[in-house]
Amino acid sequence: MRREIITVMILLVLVLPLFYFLSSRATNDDISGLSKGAIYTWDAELKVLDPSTGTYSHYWSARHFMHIVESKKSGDTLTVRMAYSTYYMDVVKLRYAKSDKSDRIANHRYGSLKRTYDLTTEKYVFILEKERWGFYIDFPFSPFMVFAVQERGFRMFLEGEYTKGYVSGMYMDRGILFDTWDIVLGTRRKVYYLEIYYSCMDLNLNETELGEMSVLEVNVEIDKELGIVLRLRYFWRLADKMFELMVELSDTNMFMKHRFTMTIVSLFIVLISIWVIVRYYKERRRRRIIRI
Amino acid sequence: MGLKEYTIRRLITGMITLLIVLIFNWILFRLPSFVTGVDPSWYYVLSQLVGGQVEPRRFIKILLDFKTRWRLPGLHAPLGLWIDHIIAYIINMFTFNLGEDMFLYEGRPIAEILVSRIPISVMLILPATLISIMIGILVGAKLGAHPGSKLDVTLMTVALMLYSIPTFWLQVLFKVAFTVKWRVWPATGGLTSLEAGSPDALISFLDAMYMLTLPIITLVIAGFAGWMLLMRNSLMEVMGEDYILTARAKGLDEATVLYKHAFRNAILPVVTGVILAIAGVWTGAVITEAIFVIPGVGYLLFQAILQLDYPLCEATFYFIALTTIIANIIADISYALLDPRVKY
Repeated sequence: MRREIITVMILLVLVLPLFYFLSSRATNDDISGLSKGAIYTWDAELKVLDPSTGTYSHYWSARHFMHIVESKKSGDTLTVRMAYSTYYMDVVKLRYAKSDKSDRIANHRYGSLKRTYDLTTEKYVFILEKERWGFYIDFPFSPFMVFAVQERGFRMFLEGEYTKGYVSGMYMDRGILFDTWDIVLGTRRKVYYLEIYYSCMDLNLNETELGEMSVLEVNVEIDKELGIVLRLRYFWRLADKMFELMVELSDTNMFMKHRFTMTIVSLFIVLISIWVIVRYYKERRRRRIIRI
Repeated sequence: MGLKEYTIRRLITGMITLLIVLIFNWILFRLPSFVTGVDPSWYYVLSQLVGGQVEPRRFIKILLDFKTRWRLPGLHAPLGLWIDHIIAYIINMFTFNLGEDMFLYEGRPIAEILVSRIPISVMLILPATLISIMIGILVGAKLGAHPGSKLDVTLMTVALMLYSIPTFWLQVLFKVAFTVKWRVWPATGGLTSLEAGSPDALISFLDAMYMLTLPIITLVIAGFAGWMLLMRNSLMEVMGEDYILTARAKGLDEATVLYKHAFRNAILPVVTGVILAIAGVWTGAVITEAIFVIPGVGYLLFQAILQLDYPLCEATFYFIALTTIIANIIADISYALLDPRVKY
């Protein structure tokens, strides 16, 4: 019986670390995130903090889905066919301000579309569809956008486009960019992480209750390999309440999930296995000595 | 285990304690953010901007300034950034790279601010502690040698009364009496020349010592009773030991029995307390320094708390923890050196 256990342990020792080396499906093309057949799902939640009571209330949860049906690059033109949807679930409130006469959003929206990009002018970011979650604010990021992270000068583009810019008419630093890593869906991913602050009035489309002093905080993580938004958070003041919108990648077929978790688990199993094997051999040697 | 091994082991445990304290200190100042869900930088910056509407441009500038100077990641930052931040924090603390202050002393390195305050705290607490210990030990030894005597009963009553009086109350009372009523000392000032760096060092030192006399007196009055009680009880315990009876049976005079045999043994528990009290010399006395407006380490912490200057608070807490841990290690080692019976 003990021999069988040790055999299983040795097999685990040999097999489990392989989880670490399994590579993702992403190719090393310019825009890996737009590979044909790529599927992404994000979970979103809108929470609202009432400063007068200091409590958060849940407004709704949503699920964003994106499927790249076709992606073709010919010369300087990129053509992408995609299907997308946003489903709102667990809905508590769809009116964001007291002045709202009707619900801001419908239960769901979906569609399929074909977009063509001229790569001579649009080479770093591909906005497939705008998502505003019922707000009249021009949010700078949404899940339905893919970045060409492999493109030369992409980091400079990120810095120039997002971390510097106009705030209430003045050109200044408005954010920080970090090269770091995070655990996404149980897998370690290298990311670009941005913390950016906008004056809400600079992004206001027609939001009447948006205060002049309101600042929009944006935290966004962009995958360094796929160029997709992994995590996104908006935090701003509207109608005397603090709105917090969180979006997080919840599923994809573009990289192996739980690789990091499995590596940690396998590491523990390896250590335990080594300990069991060492104990077994020590015991055997002791038994031999006793026999003598 | 020899003394050398014991010292090495004590140093290692001291380092581990310091590391735990560092992590605790790190958590403590980020806990409000973790509990409330508000970004730590927002938390710090908003606390500075309380009371008025702030222009987005100014708000963003202060926030980014804070973030870049302190490399403090946002609450929703990736795990990698937080781990980098913790490692950098621990390395910085071990190397005394405490960063620059953002609010109270904007732009000045925190380590420099702390170093400038230490001499003033030492000038206040060191004489007060040494005088308290000396009076406490001498009087305590006298009372411990003759427990139940009239002097013992009288001084014990006085000592217990002084011991139970809150120090801050005594200090406020003395300050009102000597600076407002009788005007022996000015209410504030004197130490400012020391802080500013007067051209004549001797004059500013004497000036400071004159200003510090009143707080030192109050600290001695409030502090000597504790040492006296400790010494008295320790000596009383030792006086009941068999070897004291043997010494008396040998025909030794009472002074030899008391000072050569009993006193040496009775002072051992006091030594630990003395070394720990010396640690307090560096860290200052927050309330005393606040009442008498003495610009030492304690007053710096008091100001930092009032102004919600978290980085300065964090660094001062670390400094206090570090000196206490070092004093503890010294106390343990010196105890082992003084008492050969101690098993490591």
